[in-house]
Amino acid sequence: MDTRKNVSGAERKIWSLIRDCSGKLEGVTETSVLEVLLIVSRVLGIRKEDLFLKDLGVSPTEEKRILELVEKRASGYPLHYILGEKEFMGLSFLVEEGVFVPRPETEELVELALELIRKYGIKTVADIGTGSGAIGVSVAKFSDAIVFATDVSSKAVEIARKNAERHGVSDRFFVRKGEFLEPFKEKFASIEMILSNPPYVKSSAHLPKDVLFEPPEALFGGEDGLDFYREFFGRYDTSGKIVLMEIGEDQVEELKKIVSDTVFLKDSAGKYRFLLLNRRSS
Amino acid sequence: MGMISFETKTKIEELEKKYKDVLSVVNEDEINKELEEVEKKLTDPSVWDDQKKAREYTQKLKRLKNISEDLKRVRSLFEDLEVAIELSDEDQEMAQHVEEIVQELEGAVKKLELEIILNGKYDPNNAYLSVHPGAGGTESQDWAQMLLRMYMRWAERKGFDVEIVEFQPGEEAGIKDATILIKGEYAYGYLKHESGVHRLVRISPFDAARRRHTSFASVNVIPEIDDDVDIEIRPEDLKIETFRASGHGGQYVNKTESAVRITHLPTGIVVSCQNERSQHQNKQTALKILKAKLYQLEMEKKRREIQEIQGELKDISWGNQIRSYIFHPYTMVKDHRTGVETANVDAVMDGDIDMFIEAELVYFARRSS
Repeated sequence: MDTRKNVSGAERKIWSLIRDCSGKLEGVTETSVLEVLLIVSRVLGIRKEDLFLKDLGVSPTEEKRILELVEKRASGYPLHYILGEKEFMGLSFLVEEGVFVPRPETEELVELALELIRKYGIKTVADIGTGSGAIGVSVAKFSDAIVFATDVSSKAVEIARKNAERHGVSDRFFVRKGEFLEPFKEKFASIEMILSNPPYVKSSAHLPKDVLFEPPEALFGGEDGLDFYREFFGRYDTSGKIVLMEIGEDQVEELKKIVSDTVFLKDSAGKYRFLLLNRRSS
Repeated sequence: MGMISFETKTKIEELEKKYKDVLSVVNEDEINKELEEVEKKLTDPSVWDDQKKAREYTQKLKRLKNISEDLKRVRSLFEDLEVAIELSDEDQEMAQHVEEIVQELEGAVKKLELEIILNGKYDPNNAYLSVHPGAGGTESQDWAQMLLRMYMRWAERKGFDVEIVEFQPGEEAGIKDATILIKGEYAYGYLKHESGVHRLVRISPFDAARRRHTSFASVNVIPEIDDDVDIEIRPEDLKIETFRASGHGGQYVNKTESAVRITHLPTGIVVSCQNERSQHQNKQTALKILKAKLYQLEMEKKRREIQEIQGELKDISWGNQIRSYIFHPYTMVKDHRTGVETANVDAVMDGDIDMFIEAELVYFARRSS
């Protein structure tokens, strides 16, 4: 007698496949079952809800593909490169090898930025090192501001542009390849707010395997992780503007030496995560 | 009824049953008497001094008027139907007329049902449904996943959309915790009395000795509440935390899940939302769930007040066993409140639970009327 009422053969097969695969991911993630659910859904082209709802069969080709991707993930390869997307601010962003995967802390930077945009009626915003476009595209999506974004990687520029299209803000999100704000020199005077999640990881840092698959230029900020901030504040006159940037939680003291009139803010996990420099006149 | 199709006959039977259910909850004479009383109260000019009270009365008047009119309409439609059925034996055209009346009755009975049985403030809303396994590890975690699947299938049958909001898998099988959002008209109204403990008796698939096991899982259903209601949450009453790995955050780690925990300081209610969606999204969801929990708390308080006034404590607290699912030594699913039962366990586990839902809606409507 079937003691698991109405759990069909196909369903049982898919769940035992999920359970077997998740065992292989235990070394690389705390959320192995969820990751396998997402990989299986991706391969079958379904929502993960369907794994509970439908009697889905898995063809030998699909099973092979699932096993391949699970092996790839088990080697440390980032899940979001396998899935091809990562949600940020409730929006799905395309990501792939060569582009930094946006992090939840950065959503708090965007929330802060949106508050300031509303408060001051800010019209023009810059996003340096936009990567997938997470910061800039979200700002364009949730405000009326125009965003000028830059990145040193041509891959990032391409993906950011796609993400702007994906979320219907191509008319207010402009991205160019280059360092800092060099590609938008002619716009510099009009920019009211500068946002960035610049590379702040120390070059000696020991990083988890999956992070090492991400582009080094998005992560490493020199010996003390502060190269970007030093160069940016040395190069640009920020008077009259607001600067809001993400930082490493242990960099506050050193950053104070670089910019003296900065406020440091904590993220919701209680760690110093943002520098806010408000040089607006009104 | 020679000329009437089997399909129509079945429909008539269903309509008669539903009408009977409605009549077991309301009485036309009493509704009309109550209607007269409210009308009389509203003729008193002093009622209008208290705006809130006046609004309550006018709303009540509107509702009673609708019910009264619809009861009359359904009653006369059933009378027409009876006549038409009698005449349809000899008259082809009358058989056609029967179909028309049945169609009209379907709409009218449905409207009446919603007015009488699904008339709660949030009944038309979407519903969050959570399943938590009881003690017993893998046994009850597997049972929790079976229940989750049952509700997801029920929702699909209804044409509702389902979204997994939170899902914590058990170590070997099943789930430690799960919450789904069921999106569809009256999803909350239908599911609200499914809250409670569900009990399973079966030969365990995890027990090599094939012994009989009893497992428990609790279900909790709350409405999805949008921003525009009068459940007020003051930002200063909230403690919002994200629980991340210790050590470095930010660029140093890339986790699959984001997790938000919100504590409502005045009540101590804690809500968390953890999944692969963005932190921003999870914060929004957690706030919605918090709002619904505050509403639930308020309802519980009111219910207890009423019970104290009535001097009786009814067994409807959500901690109680509401239904048993027996797979062995015989098969039966039985609701302990309504007494409804069926031997078709397979169909039930596949989401065919409307018979339980309909009966409990009538049962609770009758108790509160």
